[in-house]
Amino acid sequence: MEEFKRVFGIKFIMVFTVTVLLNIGLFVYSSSEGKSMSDIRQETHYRQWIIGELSDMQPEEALEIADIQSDSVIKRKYDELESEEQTVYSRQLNKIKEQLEYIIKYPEDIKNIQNNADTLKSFSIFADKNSFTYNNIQKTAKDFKRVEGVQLYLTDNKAVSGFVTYYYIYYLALILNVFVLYELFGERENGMWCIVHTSKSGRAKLAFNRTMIITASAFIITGILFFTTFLTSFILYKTASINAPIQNIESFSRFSLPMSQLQYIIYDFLYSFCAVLTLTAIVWMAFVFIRHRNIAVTVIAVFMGVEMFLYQKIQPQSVYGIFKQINLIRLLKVNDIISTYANRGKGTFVVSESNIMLTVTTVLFIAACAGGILGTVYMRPEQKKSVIARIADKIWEMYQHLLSGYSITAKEFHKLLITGRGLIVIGVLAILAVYFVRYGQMTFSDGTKELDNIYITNGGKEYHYITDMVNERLNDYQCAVKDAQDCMVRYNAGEATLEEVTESSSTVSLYAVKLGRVSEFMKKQEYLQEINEKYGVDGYMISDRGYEEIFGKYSIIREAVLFLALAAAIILIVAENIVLEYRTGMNYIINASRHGRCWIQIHRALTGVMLTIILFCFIYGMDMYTMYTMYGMPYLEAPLMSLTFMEGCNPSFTIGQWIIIRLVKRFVVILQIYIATYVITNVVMVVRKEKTY
Amino acid sequence: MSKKIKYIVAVVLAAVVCVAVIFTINRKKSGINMNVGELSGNEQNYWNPDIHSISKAENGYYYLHYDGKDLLVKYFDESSKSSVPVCAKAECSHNSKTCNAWLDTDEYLSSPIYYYKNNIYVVRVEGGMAKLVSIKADGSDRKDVANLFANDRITSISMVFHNGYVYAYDHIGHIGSSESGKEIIKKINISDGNSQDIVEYEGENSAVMGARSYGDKLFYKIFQYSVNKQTLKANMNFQLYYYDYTDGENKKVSDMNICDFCVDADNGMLYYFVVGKGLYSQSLDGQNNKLIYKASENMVSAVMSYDGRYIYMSNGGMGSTTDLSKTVEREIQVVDTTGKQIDTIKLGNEIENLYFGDEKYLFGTKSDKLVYIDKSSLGNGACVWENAE
Repeated sequence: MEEFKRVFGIKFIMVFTVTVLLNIGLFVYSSSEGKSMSDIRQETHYRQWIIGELSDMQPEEALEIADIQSDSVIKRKYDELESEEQTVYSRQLNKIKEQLEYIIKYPEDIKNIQNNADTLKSFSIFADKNSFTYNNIQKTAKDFKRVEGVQLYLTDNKAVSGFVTYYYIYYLALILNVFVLYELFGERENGMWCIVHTSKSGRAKLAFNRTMIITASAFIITGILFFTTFLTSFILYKTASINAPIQNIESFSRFSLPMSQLQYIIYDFLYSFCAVLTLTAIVWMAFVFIRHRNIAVTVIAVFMGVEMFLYQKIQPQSVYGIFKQINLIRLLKVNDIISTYANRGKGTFVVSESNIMLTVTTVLFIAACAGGILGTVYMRPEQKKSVIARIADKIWEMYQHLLSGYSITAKEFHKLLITGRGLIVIGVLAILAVYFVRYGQMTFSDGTKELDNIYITNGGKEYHYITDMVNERLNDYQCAVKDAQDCMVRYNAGEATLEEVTESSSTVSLYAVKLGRVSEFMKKQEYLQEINEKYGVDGYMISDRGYEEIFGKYSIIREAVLFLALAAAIILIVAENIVLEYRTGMNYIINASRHGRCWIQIHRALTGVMLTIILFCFIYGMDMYTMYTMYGMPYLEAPLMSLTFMEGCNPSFTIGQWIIIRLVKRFVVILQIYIATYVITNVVMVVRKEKTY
Repeated sequence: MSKKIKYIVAVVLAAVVCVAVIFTINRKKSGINMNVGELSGNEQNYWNPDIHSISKAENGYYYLHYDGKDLLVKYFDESSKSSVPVCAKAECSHNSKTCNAWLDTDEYLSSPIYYYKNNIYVVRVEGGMAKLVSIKADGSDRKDVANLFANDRITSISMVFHNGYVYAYDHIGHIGSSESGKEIIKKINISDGNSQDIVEYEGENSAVMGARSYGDKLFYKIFQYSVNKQTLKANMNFQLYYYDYTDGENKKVSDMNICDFCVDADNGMLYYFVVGKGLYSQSLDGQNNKLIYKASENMVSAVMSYDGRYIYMSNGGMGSTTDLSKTVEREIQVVDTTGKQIDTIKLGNEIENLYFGDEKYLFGTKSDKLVYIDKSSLGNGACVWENAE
């Protein structure tokens, strides 16, 4: 009970309340799709009015009536409205028509699945009775038989359909649970671990209590977030058709259990709770085994990053598809897993993905709890020092003695990089950077390399050679076509042989191919003329290819990863540097410095700025150098708009200036992140310190 | 000199002359030996090698079907004469990436497709690099097997499968390029993806085309052209070569302008079509070269196929460039191995792609759908294109 009170105190309640409100805000924002509340109300009003008129009819009849052209109550309502209202009304009407078409098609669709199953079994490639494929077909037919009798009807499904596709609940629930665990493990940093370790009721009982707290926390947090979101949806869309079949919603056309929408929401909640609980238990186990809370959070963040990467990169049909299916990111897309019909297995063993999820989460939960309990019982607060550790301590002592003779700036750097383990963070950053600067590297064919050579040797501001080459090829082609036509005329008059006709026709084909090879130059010429007329820009004849990789659409992932990794590294290093002082009590000694606190603060801040600059130069220097070696950077003096994908940009920029501007923008943002981290961490630590007193 | 000695000298001289004559005759006889040994049985060398959107499996045919929106791997079943996407999910609509048969057109090329030892092989392009992808026969488990070469998302890749290796080349090569280029055939190990170049040809406006595997040899053509700008005359030339799998040697078969060829391994014969001249037959040891079918107004050059029984010659090559005045109709001439005409199959303007086929069916596409002719109807002049879908 004391543990419960410790964790779920005022601080947690405040954070949780803010999170619930944030969640509701996010839900409303994502559901609104940029529309205002009055627009949503208007849409809801028209949608429900139309459904009210049509719901008592047979779907086929309703579909006929639901037409603005037909003489019906639907049309008469439409005619009464103002022009803008008519647009909203007809948009809702079209969606309802799609819904009706789906309802009409559904029974036949389900029957077709049975028929497909029978047909597929007759094909030799699927007919091996011992194969997973054959048995999957059998299971599919059997599973969809369950929904043969489901009767769909027209209802307003908006509340439920908007709710089930909203995923932020699970991410927020997980973050809150990580917060709970972070608070639970406060003993690791405030010196209480030794006392907790000697708990009089026994560590096993403590570990078991913590398991209960985690389970309760996951249940309460997920439950409240889940049902407040559903309530919001209910209020936003005025009603929810909770008794209608879940298959009423088209995205559930392949859901093979006969359930009402309310039953599905409860089913969804139970699965969501399992997913969040399992992940929380795994995070708990990580916190138990990793001695420092911040390192635990970092490891978890890196692991989630790897899972996200695997989820994005692996194709569903790949042999490595299992790493996409059993993936933490996918696990949080609960509705995707349980609403989509998909089976896995081997040979005659076939099982649905939702059952796999349930089994895997159960096994993982049990394993994580067992690990967490064992770790709590057996891990000691203090580790016995080995001989090597003692030697290392001696060497460290001598090193510290040497260090004392250095300047304050050197000592600050030392604190950032070595005492605060900043070098480890920089190492991880360097590995990420080295991998991602070459991410998505393009291979160019001989044809494109030839074109790029022509751009470099004969392109640029004066590109007469290219213009002449294009004109020459165009002229050659046109002459060849005329010659072939003349030859055909002579052949028909008996004045030319078939061989001559064939030769002339072949010449046309070959010149067409040669002309095709320079079509890129022709398009580029047209583009340069267009920007000259429209913007008054004298563009250069240059290749888009390399620059598209450097800062065009193919650079997005590379640039995003490098920027985020650098920002995360700065935050971790700087925050840890400040927290370290307070954790070790060094802040009192530093604040008693004979030069004054400001002097120390200035040096600390400036050292941080210098490190930020060094890291920025390292990452982006490596990036630019790699881009230069892979793609070259020709014609940096060319107007930026010479690149077709930069049409409409500021006409006074050159390519070189644009590259520099982008780098400067990134640097300014990174600097702001550094300043924000420095200030926020200092404020938080000061507030905490005052609370202690 | 005594009579006896004169007699001995005469005999010796006669013997020397005989040996010389025999030696000369044998030298003339030796020529180039293209004996291919036994076929492996899964070479499928009857298809159109550079328009290869279909491949034979044990009881049917896998093919790629693109309807302008979705690219699907499909299977034509011989017994039911119907097609199905290669996706065993009865509930699937075959229009999204969760479908086993669906190929993303942003990645995958709509040609070629091959079936070899229980796997389907297609090509996708990522980051400008063409990659060979294998798919299990039931459509599951895709994986990248090997990098091929740089590709601008053009369906110009052709392949031959033999003895656990893939022999890949680009059949557009450097045609239309103003620079000299190297045309290669790459040999790639299917199990580990390791590759080496086994054919390298350097020249201007060249390409490797029409490779087919027979027994222990890989036959291929080198296409080259030059244009005289003053006379606007193109000089296009095909040269036939073979690569010996056993010793790695490349040899030229002939200096003639051979637009296509096929090999009858059972009877040791090579059939080849010389532009403007016609169809020739020759034994694989280089002897008995004769013209068996003369080129005509409708058949100046040909794309060929041999299904073990008949030879098929389509004028869909240079002969059809006379389509400029629509005086020449697209057709396939079916002849036996002596050059005797068996049938004529009209293609008209409806048949877009001609794939040829094995001893049972001839395949093509009509309105983007797979169609076929049952070869048992050949010889009656009543061949009908049936829908396979």
